[in-house]
Amino acid sequence: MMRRRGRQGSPLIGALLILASFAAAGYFWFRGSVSSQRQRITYLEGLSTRLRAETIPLKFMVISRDGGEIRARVKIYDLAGREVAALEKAWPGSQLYIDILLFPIRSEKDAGNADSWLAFPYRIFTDKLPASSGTILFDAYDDGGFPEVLGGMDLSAGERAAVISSFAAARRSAGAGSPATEGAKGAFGSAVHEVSELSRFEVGTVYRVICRIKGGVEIMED
Amino acid sequence: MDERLNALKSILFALSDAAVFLFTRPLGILLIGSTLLLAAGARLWSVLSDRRLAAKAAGEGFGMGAAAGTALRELVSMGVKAAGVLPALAAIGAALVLLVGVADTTRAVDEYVAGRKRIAELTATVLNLERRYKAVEARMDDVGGGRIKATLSFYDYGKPDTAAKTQSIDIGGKELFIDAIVCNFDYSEISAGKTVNLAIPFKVFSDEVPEADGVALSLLDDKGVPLMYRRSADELYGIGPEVYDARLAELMGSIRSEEAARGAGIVRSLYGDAVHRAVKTGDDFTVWVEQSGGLSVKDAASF
Repeated sequence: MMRRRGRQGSPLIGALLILASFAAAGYFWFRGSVSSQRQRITYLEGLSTRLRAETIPLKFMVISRDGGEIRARVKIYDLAGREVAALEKAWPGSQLYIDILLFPIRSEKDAGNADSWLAFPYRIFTDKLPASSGTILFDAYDDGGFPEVLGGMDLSAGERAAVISSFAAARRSAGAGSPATEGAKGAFGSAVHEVSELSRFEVGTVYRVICRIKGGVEIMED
Repeated sequence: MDERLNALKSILFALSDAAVFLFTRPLGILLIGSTLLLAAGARLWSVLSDRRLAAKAAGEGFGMGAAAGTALRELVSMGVKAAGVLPALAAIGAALVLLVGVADTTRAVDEYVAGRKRIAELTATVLNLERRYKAVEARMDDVGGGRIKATLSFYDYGKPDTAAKTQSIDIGGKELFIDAIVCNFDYSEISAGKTVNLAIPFKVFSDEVPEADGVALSLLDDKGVPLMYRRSADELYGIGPEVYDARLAELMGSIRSEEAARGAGIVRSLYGDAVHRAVKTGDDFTVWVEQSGGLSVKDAASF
């Protein structure tokens, strides 16, 4: 009897072991798939984050609109959100233009094909005041040649030198009375502004200028 | 069905976790070992008590040597019995390995399915946000003597290969500004493919000519809708021309009135954006509407 029971048990154990082997094989196959899937998710999440990477180098508030003038207070910030400069001034006109210079993060050769940019607050003008007569902002955050708007983060010596070089090129053009966009191939300006018929900057409301590394500049209420 | 499956999975995972805990974790092994030792100790105690009583009843002595001998015999007996049930123990072990394997594979399948869903969502978001469309192409025909003569071509996001309209301009200065009303929608609207950020070019000015004296671009039709967004009936798919026109007018209403836009809850920001570049004869650049928000300018040859 004992012998018969043993003979009946062996096929059962064998079947269980085979099933366990299949389960183990399936398990390792799925683990491999899940692992590669995790890598893809990490990459996509990183890409998504990069696409949305944005900085706020400038905030402003319209203080008053009187006698054909618009008075505003402008504050400039570094990447850590520390205020590095402040300015209050009146400009003739009714619509305020905040001009941001977007400098390509590419070599001179590929600059026209750049897909990411450094953002430098450039100047302020209005609908009545031509851009060439606007208030240049470069001096306000120039720290011995380094643009303080890019302070507040760890830069390698090479990165720091590249930033200083880009900023110097923009400054040279602006200093010579030429458009700063002349100073670098692929650079462009983005002058964001209110539109009188559609959306006005409300007096006393703080607005932030959002600059995306992909190149878009946007104004939003703070 | 899903609820039943989830209940079964819960039982499977609980059994698997218990098995893994008992047979692979030090605390679990300690628990099993202690239980076996306690059982063996209780068995020995019971056998020794019985033997002592039997010896007492027979008027015999039950010394330390006899107790040790009895305990040893009982231990050997237990070992023999354990060896007898070894096939059954092996079967139980195999069943537990199978159980843990099935549970882990089920978990891996669940994670894989969830991962596929997450990838689909992220891919849609990235694709929509990475997407951009051409709004304006600017060709500098003649730049010199403090004047800019250029040809601007305006594009519709639905027809990126054909300019909806072109316009020649002649303006003083050396840096050309193309001013547009920009309407950025919520990311969720874009990532869901329900809408795209819009830019409506409306004026050109320069570094020397202020916006107030700039050149207006006549791109709006009598209903205030930009010509570039108009569609003929045969160009529309899945929506009637009247409905399309009504929706477009509604959308433009949102763009024209910030209050209406906020009320609709879909517009993230509405403002003007004058993108500009220093220009020279032969320059050819394109203004793109970024779906992450705002405008960008690139060399036309770059695309």
